[in-house]
Amino acid sequence: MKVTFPHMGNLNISVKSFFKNLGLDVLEPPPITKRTLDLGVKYAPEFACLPLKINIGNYIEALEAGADTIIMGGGIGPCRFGYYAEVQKEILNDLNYDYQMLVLEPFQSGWKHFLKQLKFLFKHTSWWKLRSAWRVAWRKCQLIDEATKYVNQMRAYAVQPKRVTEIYDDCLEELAANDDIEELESSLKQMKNKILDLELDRDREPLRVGIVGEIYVVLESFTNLNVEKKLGELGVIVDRSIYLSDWISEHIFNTAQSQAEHKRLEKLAEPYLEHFVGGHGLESIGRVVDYAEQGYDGAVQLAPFTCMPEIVAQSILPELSKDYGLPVLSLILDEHTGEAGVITRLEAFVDLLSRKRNEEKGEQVV
Amino acid sequence: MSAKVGIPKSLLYFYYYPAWRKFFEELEVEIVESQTTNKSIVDQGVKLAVDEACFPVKVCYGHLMELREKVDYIFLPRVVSVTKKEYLCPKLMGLPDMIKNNIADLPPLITPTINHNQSWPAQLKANLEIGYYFTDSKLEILKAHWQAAQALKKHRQQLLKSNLANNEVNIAVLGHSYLLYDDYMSLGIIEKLEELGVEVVTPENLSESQIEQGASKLTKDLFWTFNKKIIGAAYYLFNRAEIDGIIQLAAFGCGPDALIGELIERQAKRRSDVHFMTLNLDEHTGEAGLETRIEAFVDMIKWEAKRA
Repeated sequence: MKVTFPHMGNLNISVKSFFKNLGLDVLEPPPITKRTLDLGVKYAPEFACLPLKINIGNYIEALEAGADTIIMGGGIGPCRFGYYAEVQKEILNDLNYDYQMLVLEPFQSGWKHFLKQLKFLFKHTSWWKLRSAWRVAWRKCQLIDEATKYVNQMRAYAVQPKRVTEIYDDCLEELAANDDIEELESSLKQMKNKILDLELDRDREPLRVGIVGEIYVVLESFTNLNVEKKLGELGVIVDRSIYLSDWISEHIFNTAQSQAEHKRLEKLAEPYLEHFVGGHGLESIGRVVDYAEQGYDGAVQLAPFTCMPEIVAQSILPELSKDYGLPVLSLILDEHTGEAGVITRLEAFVDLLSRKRNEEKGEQVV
Repeated sequence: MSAKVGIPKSLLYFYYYPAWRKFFEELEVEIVESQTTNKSIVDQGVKLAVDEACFPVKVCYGHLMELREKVDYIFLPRVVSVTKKEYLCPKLMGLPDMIKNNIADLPPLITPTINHNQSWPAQLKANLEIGYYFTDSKLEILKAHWQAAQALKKHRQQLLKSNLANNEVNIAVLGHSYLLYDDYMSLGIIEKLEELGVEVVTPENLSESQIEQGASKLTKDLFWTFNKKIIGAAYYLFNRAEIDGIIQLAAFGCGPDALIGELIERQAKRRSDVHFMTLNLDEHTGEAGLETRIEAFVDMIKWEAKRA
């Protein structure tokens, strides 16, 4: 049995380590490329959202490479992600692939399904292995997020922001290669030190931009055309509102802290959106209000084309933007999104933000 | 003086209008329904809504504009769920907020949250809330509510079609009610088929148990109530010999339709005994093109029947 799974940002690093330490034979899908996307676009329904299409591409490329078991997430709605697996199975069946798909359904979808998942898991592993595999994978996930947060700040100060990205990429490689928690932690420290050794301009007062939106396109740089990196290289401090580790804390552990945070976001969103709408629709609104109140210069909303919760958010954002005087750029992403177009829009957006800041400071605008 | 309540003739109206009308009538509230969808309504809606919204939601914006200056209140419930453990689509859940933030100078909106995943006291409260706008008597409201539920039940009973065996051609038209029964959006497809001598069957014509029977073939329970009805109808009708063909109507930009339509289409393609066609509808769909396709579809079925 060769297990594979769909990509989503740096998810593969933690998931691969988790499955490997459980004793499963893992085959990571090849990195997402134009071909992956083309395969997805060819076989997936035209108006399905982008993540579904890229998933299909990932599966096909992994099955071609020899995988035979796909592990995928499920859900109970109302976002379409909850029904992805059912549609994807039909597509792969029609393509005559020989495989099985295990869908990890949340607890709420019923006992029967949940027990089936446990049975599958423990046919191949033990409680003890589960515990230690989880510890390593979870730590990796947290460290990756910490590294990303740090880099998203530091690019704005670095004289050569591209160097920061290089150091970050090296760090990700180390985090992927290692399974010892102490060494993992030292990789992060080393990354920070290397960045601090670079030439930094501490006198800058960089613009600050928050990123909100649908989790897949926010996390997956292939789909958002590396928007964090691009903004960073334009000298902007980027704060991403969604991280994988936060999502896990909220949806799998449901910690008191994440519950409180969610309550807070609901409160912030309430004047504009009074009810959850699935996905991250409500969070997008709440976060933008939060960014505005924290004095950020702007916000970027990322969403796949036809994403239902984000369409609700997108409809509301212009009003919110007007009320708070916070420029918001909505980038709707699909297979037709061109890199040059996105760069132009981001540059124009950043120009607008810096003009606005200068005007507010009463400085002369050239 | 009685208050005037506006009801946009779009989206959920097509599922619930008998109940809505009855409820307000019982409370002696004057109802003003927006006009049937027309070009000016569509144009206004398309202009106001975000490009990415689905066609029916855009049209709903147009209906709100049409009502805006004529009434004291607009009834636009936030319907989250009408069946336990199921939902409607996210856009319907957020519709009142989208409308409020996109259309200026609206009269007060009556937007109770209808959510059958809540406990029944919470549901009761939501229903009472609608009535409190017009009367203080809980009893009156509950009575009106009961009457409304009865009216809806009766209406649904009347829609059932049981005997199809004697018709020459039976074609099922599947899709959201707000698409099928909005003659402008669906370009009168039901009428056009009837003119060609076809008996049309829609999901509304099937009983709950028939729909359940079809939906039980799904590998995983579907959490969208309306699409479950559509796919349940499709899976049920696939195995009915008296159904000669199935036409699926999908709205441009509809999220659930994109996935569920795909499942239905894949099932249909694997079978040699079902004539199947999907039509995507939006503001650019031309009537002539649609007519040609329907005629060809019906001709094909009739031609095959003759040869057999």
